Amino acid sequence: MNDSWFETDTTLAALRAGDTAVFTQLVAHYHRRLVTFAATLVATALAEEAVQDAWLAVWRTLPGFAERATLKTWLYTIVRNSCLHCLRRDKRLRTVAIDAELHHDGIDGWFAAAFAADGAWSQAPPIWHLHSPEALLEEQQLQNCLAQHIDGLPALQRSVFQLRDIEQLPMAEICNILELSASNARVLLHRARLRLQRVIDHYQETGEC
Amino acid sequence: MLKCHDIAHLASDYLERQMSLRARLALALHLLLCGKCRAFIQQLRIALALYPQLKRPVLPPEQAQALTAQVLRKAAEHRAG
Ligand SMILES: [Zn+2]
Repeated sequence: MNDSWFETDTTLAALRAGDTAVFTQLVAHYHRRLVTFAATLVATALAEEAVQDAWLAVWRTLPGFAERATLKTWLYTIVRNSCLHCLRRDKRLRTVAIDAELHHDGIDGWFAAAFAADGAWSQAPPIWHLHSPEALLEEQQLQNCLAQHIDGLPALQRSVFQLRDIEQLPMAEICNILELSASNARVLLHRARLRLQRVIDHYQETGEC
Repeated sequence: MLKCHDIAHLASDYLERQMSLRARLALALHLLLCGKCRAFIQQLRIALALYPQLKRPVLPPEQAQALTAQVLRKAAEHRAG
């Protein structure tokens, strides 16, 4: 079972018709990922509850699901709404978090170390001996390491990274879900990528996390 | 003239084609001349191809069934009022 199976006409028709077996498969497929996402928006302790509430909303509104976006985008949107419901005073906290995540996440320090005053590399990017996605995928230890570092990203960087680079949602939909400007979303994403790039660099050089 | 430092800032926008044609050409010209930035961009490309293939956690069937049962129960309560 993969993401696209749930987007096919047959599956969507079954879900709209209230097929509980297919709904159970949908829950199994997405629940953990949605909880991971919810934990970027609300306290970890609330995330599970927020997603359980979201599933109820999904079940009740599925018959009218209109395919303006993919089912996947719709699920993430409902989870976002459910999280917002869990915390009403979100907005002010969010502004502070964005500012911190755009400036105080360690990436500026990396830039300062990697580049000389004239803007050239002061140390070249390390050579990767695992030089394809397939080669990297074979490294179970690297996968665990990445999972751990993704968890360690600042919350907003983590939500944008999950939705874009893992879930592959369109950037416009991500901005919508997270109520971010396109430019902020792009910067947050790039900083997350740069940080994870260092993790892969380190693994390539040392074979360790 | 773009510096390596700028390439590292703009790498995502370049790969996602979120820049003007003029900026793209300037960046492409830098890449033509700079092996270090070429390696940097290529590694980013590899990482971006890797991430969607990372293993996603799924819920064991019993837990999914329990959750569905809970949803159906709540939906019924909701209908009953
Ligand atoms: Zn360069």
